[in-house]
Amino acid sequence: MSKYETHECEFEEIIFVRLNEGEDLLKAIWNIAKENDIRAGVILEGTGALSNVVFQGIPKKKYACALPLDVYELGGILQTNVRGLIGITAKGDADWTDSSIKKVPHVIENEEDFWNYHGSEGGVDTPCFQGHFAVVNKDVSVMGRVLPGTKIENAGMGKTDNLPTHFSLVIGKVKGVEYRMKLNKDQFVQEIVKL
Amino acid sequence: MNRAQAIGAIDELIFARVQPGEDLIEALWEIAAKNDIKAGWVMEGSGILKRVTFQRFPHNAKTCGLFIDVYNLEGPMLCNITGIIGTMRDSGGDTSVYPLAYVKGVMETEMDRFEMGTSQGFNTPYIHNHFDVMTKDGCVMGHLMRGSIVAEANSPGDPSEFTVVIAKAKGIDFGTELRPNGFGHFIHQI
Repeated sequence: MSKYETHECEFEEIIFVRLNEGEDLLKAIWNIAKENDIRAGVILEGTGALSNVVFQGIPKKKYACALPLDVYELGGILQTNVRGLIGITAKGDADWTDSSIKKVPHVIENEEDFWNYHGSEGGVDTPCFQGHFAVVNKDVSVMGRVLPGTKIENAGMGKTDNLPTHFSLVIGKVKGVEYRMKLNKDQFVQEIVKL
Repeated sequence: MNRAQAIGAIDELIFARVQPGEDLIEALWEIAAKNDIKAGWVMEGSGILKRVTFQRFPHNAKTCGLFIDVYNLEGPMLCNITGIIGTMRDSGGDTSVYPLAYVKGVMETEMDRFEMGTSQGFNTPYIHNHFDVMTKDGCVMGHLMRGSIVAEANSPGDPSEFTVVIAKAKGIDFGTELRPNGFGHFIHQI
């Protein structure tokens, strides 16, 4: 018996979608997932420009960070590659409510922030995205885990008012499996469920 | 929210080894043209480059005539690439009337403008490609341009270890258009 849990599956659809200037990258991915009923999917390609990026990264000083991963923000304009897995938030062994979540000022102040921090749009039965990106602005190249607040830029060789962007995603919608994200009492769990 | 979107499927996967000394972008253009890719993406591309030429947002936009700067970096360097492939569409406008920012060595001719959009003119392959490289000094990412050269193999005459996997989509027509804002702005059309 293999030590790896594997399930055969295949791409049901390949979706090319252009993002709009000013859109929130993570919220756009959640929205596209809902519109296309994606319960398991992959960002196969995502190349474009961002005006700023909000992301999780390893804390510089673990003892000074109230969460396992710290939240950083970097100003733009930035070039980016984004990749990741799209799935659905499932019920874990804990009931997360506004009264049971741990509040962290400016990061997790309510239930929506809590789910967003974990990549979920809003809890059970809403889309989740486990995505990493690499970005570069004029000074540095970094990578991290995308969070809400990351905005699409329409950078070009001049004013771009009211023009479509050149930030497109290629998303593979998978059939045969469901990718589930559960938040248990003690840990974050990803499940791959054969349908 | 209203977004341009199209749904298709994977038609073919193309594995291709790029040769030592080849220009990576020229190789991708050639592979896209030879395989008639109307919509696709670079699913995987990794290897060693001798040199990379790339676009990156400038340190001082006021002194950069193009709002985006062009850099060169000498290797050897480890490289990953990712990108989307389509066609540079002819939108019907006379692009020669668009202002051309003259920047010596970067933007001297109409063809240079197309190369900033990583194509060779109307109805030729368009590749929007970003990369990460690691040199002996650190990691850099940016927008890959022509002038990025695949490194020689360890032994002269051996093939390179730079292989790309390209997915060709069917049922989707993807491309870019040049619009007359500023010095020309490239937009995606699906």
